[in-house]
Parts: sequence; structure tokens; C-alpha cells
Amino acid sequence: MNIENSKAQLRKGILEFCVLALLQKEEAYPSDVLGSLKEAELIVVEGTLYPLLNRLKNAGLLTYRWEESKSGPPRKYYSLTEQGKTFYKELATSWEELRNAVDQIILDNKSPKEK
Amino acid sequence: MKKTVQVNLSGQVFTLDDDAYDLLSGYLKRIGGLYERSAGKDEILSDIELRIAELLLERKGDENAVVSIADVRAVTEIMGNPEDFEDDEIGADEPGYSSRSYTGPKRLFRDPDNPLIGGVCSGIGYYFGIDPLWIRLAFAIALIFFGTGILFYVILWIIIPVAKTSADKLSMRGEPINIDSIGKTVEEELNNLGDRFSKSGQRFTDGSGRKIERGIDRFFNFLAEIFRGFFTVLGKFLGGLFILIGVFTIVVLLTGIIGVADLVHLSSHGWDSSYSVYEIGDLVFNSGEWFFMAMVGFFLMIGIPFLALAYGGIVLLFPKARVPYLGASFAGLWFIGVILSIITGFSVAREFSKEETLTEVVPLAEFGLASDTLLLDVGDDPFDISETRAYYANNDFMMRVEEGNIVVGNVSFDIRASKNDQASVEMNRTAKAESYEQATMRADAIKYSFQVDSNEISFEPFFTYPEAQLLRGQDVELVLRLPVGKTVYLAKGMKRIIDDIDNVQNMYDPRMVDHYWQMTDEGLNCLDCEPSKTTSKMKFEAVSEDGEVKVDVNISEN
Repeated sequence: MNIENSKAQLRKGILEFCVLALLQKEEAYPSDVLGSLKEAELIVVEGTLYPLLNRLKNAGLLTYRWEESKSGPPRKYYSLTEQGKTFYKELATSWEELRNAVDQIILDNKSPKEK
Repeated sequence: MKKTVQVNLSGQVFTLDDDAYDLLSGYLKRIGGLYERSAGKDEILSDIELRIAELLLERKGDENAVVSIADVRAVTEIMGNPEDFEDDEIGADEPGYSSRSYTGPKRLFRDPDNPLIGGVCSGIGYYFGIDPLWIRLAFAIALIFFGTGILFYVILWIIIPVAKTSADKLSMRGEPINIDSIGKTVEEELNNLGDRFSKSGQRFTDGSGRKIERGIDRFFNFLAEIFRGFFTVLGKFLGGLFILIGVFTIVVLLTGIIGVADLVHLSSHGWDSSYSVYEIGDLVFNSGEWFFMAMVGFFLMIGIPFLALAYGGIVLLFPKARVPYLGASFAGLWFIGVILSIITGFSVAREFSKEETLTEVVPLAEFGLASDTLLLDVGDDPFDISETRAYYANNDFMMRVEEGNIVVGNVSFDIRASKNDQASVEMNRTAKAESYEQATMRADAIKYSFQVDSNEISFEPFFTYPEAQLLRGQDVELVLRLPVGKTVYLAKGMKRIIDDIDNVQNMYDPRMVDHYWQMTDEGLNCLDCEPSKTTSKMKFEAVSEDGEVKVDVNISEN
């Protein structure tokens, strides 16, 4: 088993959720999103984000607007659509459940020493 | 001195070193290749370009600074290997082409993203996990030393498919474990390419080199198309031929099975006869079950290959008509056919394993022969073989079924010296069976007769036995035992049955007829053959018989 591979698998599942979480607060452009994700070590290579954003946008969960930038090329600001917000709320609920369930399992199965 | 290239990334103009440009465009092409099947390919690419533009700006601070290969490398490192993008949706529009597909085995493809001529070397490089440069070098050497490199290259170009889809590219690149190393290989190779282009850049400044390259590319593609067309036509032609041969044979076999056509053909000089498989089967197999097994076995063994041939032809003509597992089914059925044939073959062979011969001696004295000279002739021939062909016809099996009896038209006749002073006819009846007892019974069931009338003996050129005895190698051999001093006259009709009679003149059997022969201590001696034969030491003679010219060489002592 490759540990990096397993970590990547774990990240992969929650990445979508995290991107939605970041964008539900306020609209953001990819560099902002990347910054937060990298800080949280949720993403290793930046390239990963773009296909994901594209997919979420095509699914109607995200929308974007262009904004001129003084310091470089124009920026794409992403935000959640109504559908995206509903989607996010549902994911958040199930994340809560999932987290509790996982915590419970980890707690119950800790070796006596760790307890 | 380095050539530079100006590019537009999301509306931002950058000046790149030539090698930096090659690395970057290769990188973007790889991403494009990965998302070939995704609806958002263009958008993803432009978003990534946007980000790259940002990163380059951040790095250079000034959009007028020249971007080096080191800058591009740093930026692509941040963006990551396209293969490492942790996204499940690569090529998701096409079910079954998910990213998992690149866990499959490596396949040989031509690499369209990285070609020098046709992408053959690049593809081979991926396949063996080595730098394509070495493959190219090998081709170049083969070209210089043997000139075969170019031919081989063209052939490979034709037979190796181009990696069109992202799935193709992934299987071309191999397993995910190697992704890192392969990614590196790609980049290194791109650098190599970039270096080489920058070195020869002076000559290719206005792109005329690229034009030449494109021209060569087109030429080879044209050749490839011609070859492909030729093989397609050849394939269709063969397909049609296979179908014809297959279907024709199947039809013949089927008519044989339903008994319409007589598949078993017996023929001899001037005589022939055909039987359906059922007629012959009833005479060979001692039970219907065995016969059925043999039939099934035989038709599977012979028929299935032709059915497969016809199917192969159909697939050649219409590749979509391929039916899964049909080939394997054919193989299975054919195997069953072979097994059944072997089993029935052994069963029948056992029926032929024991042979028994019954010998009867009929003393001719009983018939009160009137003279010292016997006249030998044959009786009526139910097979109506003409006299001129009779000798040769006897070498072929002749059979007919009449009123519950099998009539066999093969009898062999010999003349040897008698061990006493009595003339006699020795009759040997032979048959085969599973056991000696049965073989004896079968031999005894054979009916053969000859007529004696004063000094004339008439031998029948056939023998019979009941149909129920089956075909079991029944045979009749006659030997006339002649005491020394006795003379026989062989009538012309005797050609039909005589078989290798020893004689002093060493004369060929069919020419012994129509002569008088006397038994001497040395063997049969011709009394009325041309005397020159015995006096000349060596004689050549040309004899015309049946319009054939035969040369006989006779060598004798006297």
C-alpha cells in the first residue's frame, strides 16, 4: 500500500465539499481558493482545482463572473448558485454525520494504551 | 544566442525562450490530451493558462522579462503533473474511460503529441520505458548501415495505431505506478526536443523547416493510407473467398448428412460407384450408435473448420459481425469432433485387429482332367471391366451390394509348383474381426466358386458374402498348384485376376495371357513366346497397349 496514494484517495472525496465550503461564504477566484486549500494541505498540485471547478460549474452548482485585474490577466470570480447552496447544505449535514461516525469508530477502537 | 517566442496566455503577452516555449506547449498539450473527452476541455485549459499567466507574472514581476525554461519548470511543478490531478472525472463523458483505465497493461501506440516524423519512436519509448532518443538513434543507425530503418519505420507507422483518445494515451504511457517517472521522461524528452530545435532553429527560422516536416509527414501518411487501402481490399477479397469455400463445403457436408449426396466414391479403371454415408456406415459399423457417434465426430471434425473459415470471412468483410466466444465455441466443438472420431476410430480398428485365413485344397484329379494342358479363363464379370483395363482395375477395391450380399470384384490368382504330382486349386479366404473365432466365421461366410469342364477351368472374378458380415477386409486368393511337366494356357480374360505369377521369362503379368506355360523345375516357362527372348542376352522392346507405349527390358542368361 502506498501511503501517498491512500491520502490522495481520502482528499479526493472531500475536496469537492471543501471547495463548495470555501465558496459559500463569499465569492472567490481560484488563487484564493488554492491558497486556502494549500494551507489546509488539502491539495498538492494546483492543476487539480481547475477540472474540479469546471465540473462543478457544468453541474450547475457554481457560477462565475469576470473581473478586470490591475496586476494581471482578468480574474474569474466563482460563487455558489442556489442549487449549489442546497447541495452544499446537504453535503454539510452528511459530513457532520460522517465525522461523528468516524470519530466514534476511532474512539471505540483505540488501543487501551491510548485511552 | 537563443531564439525567443512570443505567446499570448489569457490575453497576456509573454516572451519565452524557445526551449521554455516547447516545454510549456508540451505541458498544455498533455493536459489537453487528458481532458480530450471531457466537455469542459477548452475551459479547463484556458483556466489553467490563466493561472500559469498569474504564476509567471508573480515570478517575473514584469511582463517584459523573458521567461526561461527554469521558470516554466517551476510553474508546471506548482500546477503538477496532469496525471497527478486528483480528479475522478478524467474523460468522464465516456463511461469505461475513467482514470482507472490506465491501470491496464501498456499498449503500443504512436505518440501524436511528441513526434519527430510519425511518433513511432516516441510510442516505442513509452512502451519500453526508455527515452525515445535511443530508439531514434537505433533507427538512424539502421538507416545508415542497412537502409532498412526507413522500411521498418514505414511498416511500424502503418501497423501501430495512433493514440487518439486520452484512454489511448494513458495506456500508451503505462501503469500509474510509473506516472511520476514517465512524467519526468516526457519533460526531459521535451527539453531534448527543445534543445535540438533551438540548435537548428537558425535554419528553421521562418518555419520553412516545419513545412518540410509537415510535407514528409503527409508523404508517409499517404503511403500508409495506400498500404491500408491495399490490405483492406485484399482482406475483403479473402473474406469473400473464405465465405464461398466455407459455405460450399458446409452445404456439401449437409447434403451428405441428409443422404441427398453420395459422398463415398469408389472407382476403378472403367468402373465406378457412389454410396451415401449411410450405406457405407451400415457396412462398416456394427451398431447404429457407433455409426451415429462416428457421423457426429466426422462432421464436427471436418465441418467446424469450414464453418470457422466462413465466419472468419464474414468478420473480415464486416468486422462488427464478430460474435464473442464464437471462435472458442468452434474450437470446443472441433475438439469434441476429434475425440469422437478417435474413439470410433479405435472401436472400428479393434474390429479389424484379428485376421484369419481358411485354406481349402481342391484336387483337380477329381474332375478327371482329360489332357496335360489346362485352359484357364475367367467367368462373367459383374463389374464389366474391359479386358484391356482388367489388370489395373484389380488393384482398386470394387464393391456392390446385391440382394443382401456384398459382391467384391477383387480376386487374386497365382500359379506355383505343386508339391506332389497332383494339380490342385488352393483357395484362401481371409477376413478380419475382433477375435479369431469371429474372423474364422467371417472367412467361412465368403462364397467363391470356379467351374471345371473337362480340361477347362473357369474362375469367377468376384466373391460374395452376406451383408451382415460387414466390410471386414474379406479377401480371396487362389493358387493353382501345377506339377512339373503340366502345361496351362492363360486365356486373355485371366488378366482380370492374375497377380504376380513367377515365371522363367520374368514376364510382366498382363502380358502372360494368350500363351502356353509349362511348369518346369525352374518355374513356369513360356512355350510359345518369341524364341528370341531366350537367346538374346539383352532385349529392348516397345509394346503398345491401350495406346500406351511401354518399353520392356529383358535380360536373360542363355
